[in-house]
Amino acid sequence: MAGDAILTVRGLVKRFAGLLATDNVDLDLRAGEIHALIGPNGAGKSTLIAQICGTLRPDAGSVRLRGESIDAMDAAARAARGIGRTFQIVRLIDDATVTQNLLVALHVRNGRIWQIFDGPGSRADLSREAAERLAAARLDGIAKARVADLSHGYRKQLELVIARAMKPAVLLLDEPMAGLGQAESTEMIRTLSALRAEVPMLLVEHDMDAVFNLADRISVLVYGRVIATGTVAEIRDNPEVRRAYLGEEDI
Amino acid sequence: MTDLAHPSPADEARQGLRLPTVVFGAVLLAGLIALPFAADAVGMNSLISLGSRVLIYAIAVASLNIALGFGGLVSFGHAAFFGIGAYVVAMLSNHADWGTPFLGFIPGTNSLILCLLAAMLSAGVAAAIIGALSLRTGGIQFIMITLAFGQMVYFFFTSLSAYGGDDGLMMSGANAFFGLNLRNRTNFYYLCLTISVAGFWLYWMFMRSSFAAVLDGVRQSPDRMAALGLAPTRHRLVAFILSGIGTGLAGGLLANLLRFASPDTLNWNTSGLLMIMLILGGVGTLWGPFLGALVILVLEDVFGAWTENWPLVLGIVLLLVVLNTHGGLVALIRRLTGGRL
Repeated sequence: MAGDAILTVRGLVKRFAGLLATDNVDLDLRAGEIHALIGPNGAGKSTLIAQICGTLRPDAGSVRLRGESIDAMDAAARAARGIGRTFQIVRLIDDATVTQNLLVALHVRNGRIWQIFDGPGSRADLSREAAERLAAARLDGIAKARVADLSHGYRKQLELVIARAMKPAVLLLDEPMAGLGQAESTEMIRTLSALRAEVPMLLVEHDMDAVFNLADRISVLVYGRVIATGTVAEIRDNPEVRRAYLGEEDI
Repeated sequence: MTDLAHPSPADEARQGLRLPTVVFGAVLLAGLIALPFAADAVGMNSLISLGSRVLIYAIAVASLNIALGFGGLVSFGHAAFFGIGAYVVAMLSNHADWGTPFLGFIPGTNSLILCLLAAMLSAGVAAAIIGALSLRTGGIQFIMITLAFGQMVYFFFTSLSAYGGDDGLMMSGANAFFGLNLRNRTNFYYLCLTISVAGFWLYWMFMRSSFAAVLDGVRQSPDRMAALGLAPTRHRLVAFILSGIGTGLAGGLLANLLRFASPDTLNWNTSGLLMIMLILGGVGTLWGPFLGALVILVLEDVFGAWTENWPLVLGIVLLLVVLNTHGGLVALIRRLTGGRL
């Protein structure tokens, strides 16, 4: 199932005023896998994601995508190179419709960003693709709705549709289940599971049901340090993990 | 960046042309074409010049809208581009009179086309420089730094005594354009109208463009755009340059109308005036720039004849519109017509 490492993180260190938020972290994301990153609140999961995405500069260490260093790139350049992501707090163009949000993403993906006087008619291909993608995600019913008016669950789903449309090399998901209802969670798990073959995912998640359901491998982050990496069974039986996690979650 | 725009500026353009909009545009155009005849008929020739001024300011305000409405770049320095446009035209035309080249190597010219192209080019270059430096900041700092650059340009031009200094620069006549007498206010009005209609069409195309769609995303959610792999600064800069070019064109036309480049066009008051016109008309809208310029210049004309305290009237109108409508006169009209216009 799991293949070569697409994303490799080596020796990543980040200090905030003396506090080690990321402590010499090594991490691999392999083709075809969902790699879950779990840990108690404040363990440094979001800090780690931010450093991979390029919104935060590490103090030391390197991030490689398909063997190529992306350390010198900013967030936009990394995203353009194939680091896709969703946000813990959904970021969308709130005053535009669902379709328009997806269309803007497709424009960026196809490099149609400098045409100053082209009409909408010349972008029929993108409109068609947007409609198809929304239909496939069963969001076609809300295609014309303003994003700001959508429920939290729909916003999360739309963000995932957009991230997927960019055809990223890897996908970093920052708590995709957070705030979702039971039915929405089940739907999201199904979606992500089906997505595994398309793109490897690094999944930051607190919902342990979802993690055990989805993850091929799990890394446990405590105080900025990866204390264990392994399969679901290995992590469940790891005494150090049990100690660190006891009382936090029922593993 | 500070977001003054009402929801989804490009929305109305994306929906395409609806019949009421087409009818409104056709009636408006017919009215504008008929204006000189009507002014002649009622013996109020000054209306024709007023019409030219409205069209010129509409071009400037629509240009400002590209930066402010679509780009979310609240520029308080657009007078610089307006004034540069005016001064470039007046300087080139004076050099043509004097028979000496500008800066020793750029020959003067009295050709309207060359003068306006030079005005647009100069304003565009100035916008590129000012924009590249100002876009390192955002929010309030961006407003202040564009204001500072605007004032620098103002003091630069008023210190050039060879070009009139504080008094501004007179032109011996309007530019030449295929033997058309541009001193004739009707001729000049129709020239402005032609350029405005062409400009309006470009502006409408711009609103529906891929670039504008992406710029809309940059304004509303820069983080989202970065996550898509787009660095927002370059789009903001291009929007700022386009905005400067259009404002420079308006300045060049104004110099031809007045046959004078005034330091006032460079002053921060003018930046404020353009911004007030835009906010009054409707930030980020198709018709807002024209409506804002129309209402304010007509108010100035009507109430300015009664009292020099006419800005008081303007202030009250502005307060009423801003407090009661979300999105200026365009939003007001839309509400009054039940969304049909």
